[in-house]
Amino acid sequence: MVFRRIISGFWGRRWQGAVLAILAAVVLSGCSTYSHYPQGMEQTTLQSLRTGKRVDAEKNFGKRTQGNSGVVFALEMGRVAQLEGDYEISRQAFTTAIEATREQDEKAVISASGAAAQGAAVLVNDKAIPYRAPDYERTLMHHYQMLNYLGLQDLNGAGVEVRRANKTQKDAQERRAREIERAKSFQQNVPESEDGKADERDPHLIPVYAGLDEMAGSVKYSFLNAATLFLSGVVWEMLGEQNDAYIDYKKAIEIYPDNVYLQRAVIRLSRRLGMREDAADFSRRFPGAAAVAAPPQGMARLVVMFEQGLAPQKSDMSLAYPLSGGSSLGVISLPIYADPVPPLVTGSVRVGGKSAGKTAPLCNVSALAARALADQMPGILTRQVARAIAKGSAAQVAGDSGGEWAELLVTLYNVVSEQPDLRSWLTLPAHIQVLDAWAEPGTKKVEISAGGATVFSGEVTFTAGRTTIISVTTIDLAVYSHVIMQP
Amino acid sequence: MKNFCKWILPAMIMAILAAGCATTVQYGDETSSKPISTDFGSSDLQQVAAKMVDSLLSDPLLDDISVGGPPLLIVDKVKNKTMQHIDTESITDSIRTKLIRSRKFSFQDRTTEAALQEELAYQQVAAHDAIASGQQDAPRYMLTANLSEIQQEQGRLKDVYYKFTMNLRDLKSGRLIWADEKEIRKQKTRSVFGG
Repeated sequence: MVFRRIISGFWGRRWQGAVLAILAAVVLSGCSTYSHYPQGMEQTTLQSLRTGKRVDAEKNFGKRTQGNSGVVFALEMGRVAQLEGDYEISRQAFTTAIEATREQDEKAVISASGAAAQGAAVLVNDKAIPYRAPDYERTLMHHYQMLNYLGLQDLNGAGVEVRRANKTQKDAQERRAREIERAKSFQQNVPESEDGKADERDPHLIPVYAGLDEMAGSVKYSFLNAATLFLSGVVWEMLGEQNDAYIDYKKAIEIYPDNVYLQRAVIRLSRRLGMREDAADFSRRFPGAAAVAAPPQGMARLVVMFEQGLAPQKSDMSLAYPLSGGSSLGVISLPIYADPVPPLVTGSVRVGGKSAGKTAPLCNVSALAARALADQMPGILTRQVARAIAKGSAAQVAGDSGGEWAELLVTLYNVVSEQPDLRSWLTLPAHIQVLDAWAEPGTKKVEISAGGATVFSGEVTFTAGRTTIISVTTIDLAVYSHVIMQP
Repeated sequence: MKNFCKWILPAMIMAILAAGCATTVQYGDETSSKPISTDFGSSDLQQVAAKMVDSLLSDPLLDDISVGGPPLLIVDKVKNKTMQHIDTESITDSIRTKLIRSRKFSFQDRTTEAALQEELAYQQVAAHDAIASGQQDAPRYMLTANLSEIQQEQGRLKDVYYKFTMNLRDLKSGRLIWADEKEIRKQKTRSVFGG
């Protein structure tokens, strides 16, 4: 009995009540298809998305966008509706997610409902806590909302989402800087790592962190998303705000310096805005891009957003962990990412029979997700340990006062209820790539091929001085594509 | 009993105190109406429209440009540069309505241009006294405006600053002949305890 811990029998002979209470909690914690998040989503939504079968977003998620997991269901609903071309339903769903997230942020520091959820989490599991979107999901919800407003021909609305996406990334950056400061002040003797992450890492979790680090690769911050910054720049340019566009392209190129389209964008705008030092510096760093950065007069802009696959799913990992100062070992289960990241396939774009270039990666969602989970791990671990101790003592009390069958019952409950929180936004793509090119005005045939298959083929209208966005998403056998003309 | 005094009583007092503390919202300066959030709301819209129109109507410049009768004005839609989806058409409407009611300007409305074109086209084929196209007066002045927002957060305090800027431009000379701005500052403090 690994959980057996000695804590004074404050429940006394009231064990029957305790057992009933926990049984009620297990029943209330929900036994629907969705209570096992990745599997439930797989059966109801992801399988259909993979084969191009229509998902009724409203029926699947509509009612679920309220309640504990409301935010994550609203995100799934927004994404599915957008893939299927229903911008208005998608806009409403993302608005629900954005508003709910804002309410969570503006709640009192210690709220009664928050405390109750944390309490329930100690007795049941982390799924009792309302879903809070991690920063990378928050940035991406504004990313897709931008596309919704563009699709609905509301450029000003898209501008609002660009500002929100910027603020989300800035706030997260400041929060992270404060956390690192705090971690450093608590543990002054711990040797500093480059970005302070190692300071808060638990040595018992080395295998967990190793897997996440490998997946995150060179991604340092989960909240900075170059694809969103690039799309923000495109929207700024549509609004005629070149200076703002330049700033976002510059931020994006710090994350993806090898992306040729970002290189061309920063050189083009630094020249146009008369930033001589910047222009000279970028031209020196990226001589290849400097030669082709300036578009010929009277051209239209073509932006291709090419998305591939689905975001990684969390799975659980059980491992032994010392409880109560190391006097005994407990088993805790933690969420991890175990599936391999799907390989990146480049898309080739042809406009009017001529090559317009190849798509280039700008966002690896799996890496962002892995980095975000590594950052959340200390909090998850704290709750897991508290739960292991509480549940262990419940079994102990039940055994002392109610005999073996009561102890068995409580232990059974502990095992059944012990599930890590595996919720995350699963309909996100695994990779986002872009292409940014200039096209002659008029209606032209555009073809996009990837991995030997044509993923888009259609007549697209280009207008001088305006932008046309083609968004293509491939999920296994299915392809979803949309053409959005600048409003 | 000892435990009751040491732990339970303080806990009960804390609970009572906590129940009384709610998240508060208040204006930095203006207190003319009670704000319910830091968002740009209806009372802000009213304040902004009233202040701008009063400012324009009380400017001595109005006498100069009204010499040959009420000047013909076109009002451009207010540009939304905030982080909120605001119906700026509604602000534009409020400002235009107030100006029209002052009877000191005459107006052309570009928002109904499509319907106007349709009507004129219909008249050409259906009416014996159809209005010929190209007969409209050209507006001499253009009113433009934009609304921007800066948000700052420090600990539990959220400070939101709105700035509404309005410009009047003489389309003949291209010059800006009048400008004014109105600022609104709203602050919100997240309470320590709450629901």
